[in-house]
Formats: sequence, C-alpha cells, structure tokens
Amino acid sequence: MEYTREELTQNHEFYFQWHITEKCNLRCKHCYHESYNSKDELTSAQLDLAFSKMEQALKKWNLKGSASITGGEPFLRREDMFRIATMMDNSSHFSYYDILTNGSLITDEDLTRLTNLSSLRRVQLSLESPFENINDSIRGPGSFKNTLETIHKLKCYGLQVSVMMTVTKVNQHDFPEMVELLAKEKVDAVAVERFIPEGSGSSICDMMLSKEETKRFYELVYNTGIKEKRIRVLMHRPLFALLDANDSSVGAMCSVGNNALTIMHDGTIYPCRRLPIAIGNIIEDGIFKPWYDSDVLWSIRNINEIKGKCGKCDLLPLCRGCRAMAYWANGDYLGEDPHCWKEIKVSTN
Amino acid sequence: MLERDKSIYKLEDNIVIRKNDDIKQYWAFNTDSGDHYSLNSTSYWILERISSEPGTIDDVLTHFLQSFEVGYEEAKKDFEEIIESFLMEGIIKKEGEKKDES
Repeated sequence: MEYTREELTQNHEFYFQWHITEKCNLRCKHCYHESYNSKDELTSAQLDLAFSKMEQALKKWNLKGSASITGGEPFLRREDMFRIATMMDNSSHFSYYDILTNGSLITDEDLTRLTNLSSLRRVQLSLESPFENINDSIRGPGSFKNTLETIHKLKCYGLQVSVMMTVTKVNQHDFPEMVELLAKEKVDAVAVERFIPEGSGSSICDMMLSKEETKRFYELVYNTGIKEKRIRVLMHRPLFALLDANDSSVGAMCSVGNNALTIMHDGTIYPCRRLPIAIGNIIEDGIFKPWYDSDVLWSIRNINEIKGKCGKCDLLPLCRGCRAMAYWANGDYLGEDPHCWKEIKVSTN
Repeated sequence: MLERDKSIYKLEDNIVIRKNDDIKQYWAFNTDSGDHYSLNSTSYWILERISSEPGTIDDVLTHFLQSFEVGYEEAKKDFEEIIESFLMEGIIKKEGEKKDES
C-alpha cells in the first residue's frame, strides 16, 4: 500500500479564455452569447482575484499560461482589460495572451497602449467574409469597413493581427478570397471555426454546414493553407487531422479537460465557451475544484467513454472531434461529432 | 494501537478522489492547494471506503479483510502506515469517536 506525491504534467501550456464582460456594441447573428446584459459581472477587484487564482494554478502545475481576453466586447471594460493585460505582462506564469475584439471601439490612444503591452501576442478581430455584403449581413452594417480600418491601424502600429472566420452556409466558399484580402492587409494569421447554433446563433440553425459541406470547407482551408506563405492559416482544430493525420501542423485534440478553461463574465467556469455547462465559479471555487472534481471533465478525459463514431475512430488519440458540437447535436458531450466525414470500418468478427 | 483507536475517520472536506479503472490510475486531489496524489488501488480502496462510510480503522480494516485475501497482521501494519501518512498529508481527518456498543 503506497502512494506518491507528484505534480501534474499536462504538456507545457494551459489556456484561459476569459470573457471579462458579456456586454457588446454589436449583435452578430451567429454569436454564442444569448444575453448581453452581463448580469453579475465580476467587479474589478474580483477580476484581480480571478487572475490570482489562475496564477496559483499555473504555479502549482508548473505550466505556462496563455489567455484570450475577450467579451462581449472587452474594450467596453477598457481599464479593466488593460489592467489584466498588464498583470499578465508582469506575471512569470503567463507567456502570452491575445485580445479578442470586434475592433470598433479601439481609439488612437488604445493603439499606443496596446503597443506597450509586452506579452500581447495578437489582437484578434472577426471577419466573416472578404465580401462586404456577406460580412455585414452577419455582423451588422458598416462592420466590414470598420474592421478593415482597424486592421490597417493595428498593423501601422506594428501589432500582430489575426482574424477569426466562423463558417456558415453563406461564407463557406469564401476562404481563398479571404486569405487574399488578409494577406494584402498584412494580417499575420487566420483561423476558422465551425458555427454552432448556440445563444443568439440558435435562431439561425439552418446556417450551419452539413457534414458534406464541412468536409469541402476543411479541404478548401487545408489546400489553401498548406500553400500559403504570406499569412499563417491556423488549422489546430479537431477534424483537420482527417485531412492528413501525419501532418503535425494541422489538427489538434479538443482542449476540453486537457489544458483549457473558459471563465465567463460572472466567474462561471465552462469547459469551453461553446460547451456551456457550468462546472464551477472561479471566485467561489478557484480553479482546482472544478478541474479535479468535475464529472464532465473526467468523463471527457476518459477516451473510452467517447461514444458513437468518434469512440470507434482510430484517430481518437489525435482528434476526439469537437465535444461542444457533439453536445449541441446529441445533447451529450460524449457523443459523436456530427460533422465528421470519416468512414469508420466496423469489424464483423 | 489501532484496536484502541475509536476515532471516526473521514475524508478531508477539500479532498476529492478519482479513478480510471481502464488505465488503472487512481488519484486524490486537494482542491484548495492543488496537491495531487497518485494512489495504488489499495490506497484508493481505503479512501473510497472512508469517503462513502466514515468509520474507525477497525471498521475499515474489517471490510478490507472481507474484500481481499490478506492476513490480519500484514493488513494491520500496512493500515497503520497508510492512515498515518494520509493524516499527515491532510487527506483524511479524525472527527468524533465511535461510541461503545454495550
């Protein structure tokens, strides 16, 4: 009968997606937020406490932290956002962070302040299409021009910029032109994410891609991305491994239960923003309790509990599908990813 | 020593235990400090027992002997060691005493 005391060794990095507010000045049709009133939003002092809890966990696990500071629109809490960013700059436990914003509220003074943030990796903006009418049909009139102006300003100040494109039926063919536009604007990286009809987006369910469309879109991104030299096409997402399981530059295991948590505006902790199952509150519970005691996380960590096609897949150690998409489609976060197009051979023995 | 110990043993409030039988891994976690203990199956069995049914060491030992083929003297010695370690690490605690059944 013996036991040993040890430290966790989960790779080298732990990621926090931190929604410091739910308030937003835009109303994008596909948004995963349902309400924008930011009820029970953490105070500035509580944000600082939340930050200290993150640092405590990183220190204990001897992991380097990364974060996305986001909202809602984080510039609606401008001073809190800059204070958190500065705390991350001064922390030995955080390596870098991104600020995820719609860009519409960034002033010239903000641009100067952003350049002074030492650990800011990128400012991430969202653009849905290289075509103004398509982008603005989702993000609102004027959004396209405003975003491009902001990208231009950010680049003029020497900041790294990335763009997120959420793929729906209306923009599924636009990726090559998107890359052309972003390369012209000297954007540093572009990422794509599948649309999950949650929150406000639940009213446009029919905009979600089918399995066949998802396959074609991923192939389009992959074929564009592997040739692209001007801009990094980020393909570290579940399902990309289906395109080339031997290419380590594409595909990634869903981070739920592995090395990431989402902190909401009121401190609620989700496994992932798109898997909105509360597993604790950072103010009341800290990080350790939800991380160690959540049945949701433990069941997802156990790959033998993954069901359906995902559970039978030989790529399970590499991919695991998107647990949030599985939850949306099946009501079961252990279910199969409905967008996976891989044919699974079932043994008849 | 143990046969005279009437203390009721419980899991500390900030300790959670977890297992993955498929890969035969067992853990105890301190949810305040983040301390993480890797257990063997027997240590886990003891903690699971204490967690589900707090009792004296004799109670736990009795159930253990019913569940595993092991001699009393050997089990008792191991129990003393592991219980002391668990107490020292703050994984379990003593809370109250069992009343004599008379």
